[in-house]
Amino acid sequence: MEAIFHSLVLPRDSGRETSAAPRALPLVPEPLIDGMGVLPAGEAVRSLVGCLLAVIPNPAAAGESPSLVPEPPASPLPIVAWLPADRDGVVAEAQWSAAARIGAHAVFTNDLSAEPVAEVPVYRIAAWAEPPEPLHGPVDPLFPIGLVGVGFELEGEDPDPRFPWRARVAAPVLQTFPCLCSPLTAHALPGPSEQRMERARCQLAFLCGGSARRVPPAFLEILLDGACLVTERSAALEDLGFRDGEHCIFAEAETVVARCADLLGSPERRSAMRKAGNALAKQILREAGAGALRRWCEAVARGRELRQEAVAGPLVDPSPGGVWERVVGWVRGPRGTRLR
Amino acid sequence: MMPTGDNAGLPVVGKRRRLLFVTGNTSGIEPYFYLSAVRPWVEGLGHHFEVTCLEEPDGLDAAVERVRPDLLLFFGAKTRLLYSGPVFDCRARFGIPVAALTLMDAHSPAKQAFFEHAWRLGVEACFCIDTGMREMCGGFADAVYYCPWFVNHEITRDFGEPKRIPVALIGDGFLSTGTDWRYPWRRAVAGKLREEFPTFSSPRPTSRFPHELVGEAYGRMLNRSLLAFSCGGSRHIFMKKNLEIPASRCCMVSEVNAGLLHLGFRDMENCVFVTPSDAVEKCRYLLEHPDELQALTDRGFRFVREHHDARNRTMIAEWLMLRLDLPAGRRIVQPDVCGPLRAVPVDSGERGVLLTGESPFVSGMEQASSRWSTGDVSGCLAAIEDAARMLPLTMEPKFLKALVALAEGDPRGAVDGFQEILRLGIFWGAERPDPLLWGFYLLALDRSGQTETAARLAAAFPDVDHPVLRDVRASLGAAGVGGGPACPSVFASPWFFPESPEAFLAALRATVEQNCSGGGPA
Repeated sequence: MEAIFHSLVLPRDSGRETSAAPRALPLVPEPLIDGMGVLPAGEAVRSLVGCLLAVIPNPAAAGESPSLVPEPPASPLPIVAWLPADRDGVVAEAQWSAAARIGAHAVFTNDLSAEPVAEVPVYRIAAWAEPPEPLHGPVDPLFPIGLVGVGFELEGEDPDPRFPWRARVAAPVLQTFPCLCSPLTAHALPGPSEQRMERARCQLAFLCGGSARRVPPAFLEILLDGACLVTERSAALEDLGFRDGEHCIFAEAETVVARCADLLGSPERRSAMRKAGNALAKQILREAGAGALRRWCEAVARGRELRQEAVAGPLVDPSPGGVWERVVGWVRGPRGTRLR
Repeated sequence: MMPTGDNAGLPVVGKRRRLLFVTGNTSGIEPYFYLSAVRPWVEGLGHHFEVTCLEEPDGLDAAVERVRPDLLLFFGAKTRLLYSGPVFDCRARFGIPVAALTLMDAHSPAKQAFFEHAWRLGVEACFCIDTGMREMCGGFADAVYYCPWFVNHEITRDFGEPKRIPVALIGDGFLSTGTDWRYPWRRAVAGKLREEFPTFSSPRPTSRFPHELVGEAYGRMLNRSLLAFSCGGSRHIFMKKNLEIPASRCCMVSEVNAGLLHLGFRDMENCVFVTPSDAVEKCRYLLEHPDELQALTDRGFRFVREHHDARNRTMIAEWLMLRLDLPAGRRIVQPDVCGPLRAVPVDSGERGVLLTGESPFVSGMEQASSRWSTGDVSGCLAAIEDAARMLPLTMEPKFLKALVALAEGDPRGAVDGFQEILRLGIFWGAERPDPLLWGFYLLALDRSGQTETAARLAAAFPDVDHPVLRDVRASLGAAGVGGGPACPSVFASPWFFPESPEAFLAALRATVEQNCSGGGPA
C-alpha cells in the first residue's frame, strides 16, 4: 500500500467553502483532523496554517509488504506523518523509515508506546480510523475469567518473552478460577470466534500491553463490551485515565487471585467497575486527540512547539519562549530539520 | 463384565427391602458437593429400597423400632461417617445386616477414622465409590465393595447448549507447573492443550475460592464443550467426572486405566483415550472431523445413560440379598465392578477385583516396598518420597517411612513418623488408634529409650487389639490389656508387611537380638 498525502488547512483558510467540514480520510482517525479541511487535489494552498499529512499505512495491518513511499508533492506546508498502529498497537519499523524518508516534521501515531525518534516530536493519540464500537446486542458472560491471547498458556515453563506479565499471572489464576484460555490458534471458538467476542464472554478479561506496555484498542473494547479489565499497571494506561479499582484492576502475580476473588464475589463492584470503565472508554474515544492536528498547525504557524506530557494526553503549549526553531524554519526558507 | 442392553444384569428383586439410611447431619457438607454427590445417592437408593433417612444423632433405636429395616446403612461423605450418636455394635443390638456407604477417597487421611468408626458400629460391608479402596485399606479389604458413581440426571444431561468450547479442562491439576502432583497425567497434557486449543479450565471450588460453576451451571458448561478431559488421578480411580462428561453429551478424553476399561469405556467407541504425546493430535483430528466427533459423543452419551444410571448400581441390594441367605462358612465377593456379587467359601482364595495396581501411586508404593525387601533402603526412601509427592496427606508413605526408620535403626525418626500419623488420625476424627500403628509406635518409643512412656501408653485403648499389639503390650508389661476380638488394621498390607505383621515383628526382634549379641547397635 502506498503512502498518501493530503493537504489539510483550517476551514477559514480554505479556498473553497465546501471543504470547511472535515472529510473522512482513509486510515485517519476523525478526531485527529477535527477542525481542519481537506484541500481538493490540485488546489493551490493559500494558507500557511495547515500541513501536508502523509498517511503511511501499517504493512502488518494491510497484510502487505512495507509501504511504498513516493516523493512528497511540492507544498509550502510542513509535513506531518500519520503512522497507524496494527491491531496489537504497534507501528512497524518500515513506517518509521518511511516517515524519515519523506522528511516529516512531526509524527502522529496511535502506537501509545512509541518513543520520540531523533529530534522530531512524536505525538501519541488514542484514536483509531475505525474506533471500536460497542458490540451489537448483549453478550452472555459465560466465563468468569478470560485469558485470551498468546502468552497465557505456557504457565511459566517457557514463558513468552513478549508477555512476561501474562506468564506471571496465568498459573495462579488458572489454579483458582474457572477460566477461558484461548491462544487464538486455528481452533478458535466455534461461532463468532474473534478474540473480542471471546473476551466479551468473560466477566473479567485479562489483557496487557506486553513488555513494551502497548495500548492496543482491545483495552477499550473490553471496557465497551462490559467486561472488567484486569491488567498490568502501566504509565500509558494511567495517563489515559485508567484508575486501579475504579475502571480496572492493576494486578500482579501476588495479588491477582485475591483481587479477582474480591471482584468475582461482588456483583455490585463489578457492575460499578463496568459502568466506570465503559464511561472512560467512551470519553477516550470522544476526546483523546480531538483537534490535535489543528492545534499543532496553529502553534507551528505562531512559531510555537507543542508538547505532550502524558501518553495520549493533550498537546500543550509550554512556557513562553519555547520556540521550535527547527520546525518553523520551513516558514523562513528551506524545510527545517526533518525526521532522518 | 459389562451388562449389555438397557439395564441388563439388574437383579430381580422380589420386593423392595426397607433401608434405614443413617445419613447423619449433612449440613456441614459444602453445598456444591451435597448437590452433585450426596443427594444423588439419597435419591438413587430409592430405585432399590424403601428408604428412610435418619439425620438425628439420637434416634437410632427408635428409628429401627419404627422402620424395622432390612438393612441399616451408615453414610460417610468425604471423611468419617456422619452419624454422631452413641457407638455400639448395631449388628449385635438390632440383629440386622449393617453396612456403610462412603464417598471418601481411599487416600484420604480420614480413612482410618472412617474404618475405626464403622468397625465399632458393627459394619460388615463398606460400599465405596473409590475403586482403589481395596488396595488401600489393609485388613478391611474383604469388607469393601465398589459402588461407583452414577449419572446424575439433574445436573448432567443434554441441555441443548450450543457447542462453544473446544476443550474443557475441568477439575484440579491441569497445570504444568506448581507443586500439585495428584494428577500426573493432567499435568503432562495441560500445557500442550492450552498452547493448541481454546480451553476452558475450572478448578474445583473451595471454601476460600468458591465459584458459580457448580450444579446445573457446571453441567451446562460441559454441555457447551466438544471435548472434556478427565483421568483417574495418581491412583487411577473411577471419577464422577468420567460420567459427568459423557452424560452432558460431551466427548470424554481420558488416560486409559483398568477402572475405565472394567466399566466399559472403549477408545473411539464411547470416549477417547490419549497419552500426553498423542493428546493434541487426537483432539485436533476430532475437532477437524465434527461428524465423527458428534457420533462418538452420542455413543458415549447413550452408553453412560444405559449402563451407569442409579438403577445400574445394584451392589448394595445384591449384597443384602446374598447376605440375608448367606450360609455359614461362606462370604460375599465382588469379582468385577459391574458384575454380580457372589457367595464363595470363606477359605476360597477369591478376592474382590483390584483395579489400581498400575497407577503411579500404587506402583510407587509397591516399588518402595520391593526395594526395601531387597535391602535398597535409599531406593525405597526415594520411591516413598515420589509417592508422598503425589498424595502428601496420605498415610501410607508416612507409615512405610516410619517403619523403615524403625527397622533400620532410627527409632526416634520412627516415633516422629508414627506420631504424625496418629495426629492426622485424631485431627480427622479417629477416636481409637489403628492397632498396628499403635503397636509399632509403642515399640518405637521403647526402642528410642522412652520405655516408661511406652509402658504407660500400652495400657491405653484396651478395646483396640491385634496379635502384634498384644505381643508389644506383653513386652512392655501390659499383657492383660486387650483380649477382645482383633481389630483389622488399615496398615495390614503387603506394602508394609510382605508376609504378615506378626512375621515382620518377629524379624525385627530377631535383628535386634542379633545386633545385641554381636555387641553392635540396634
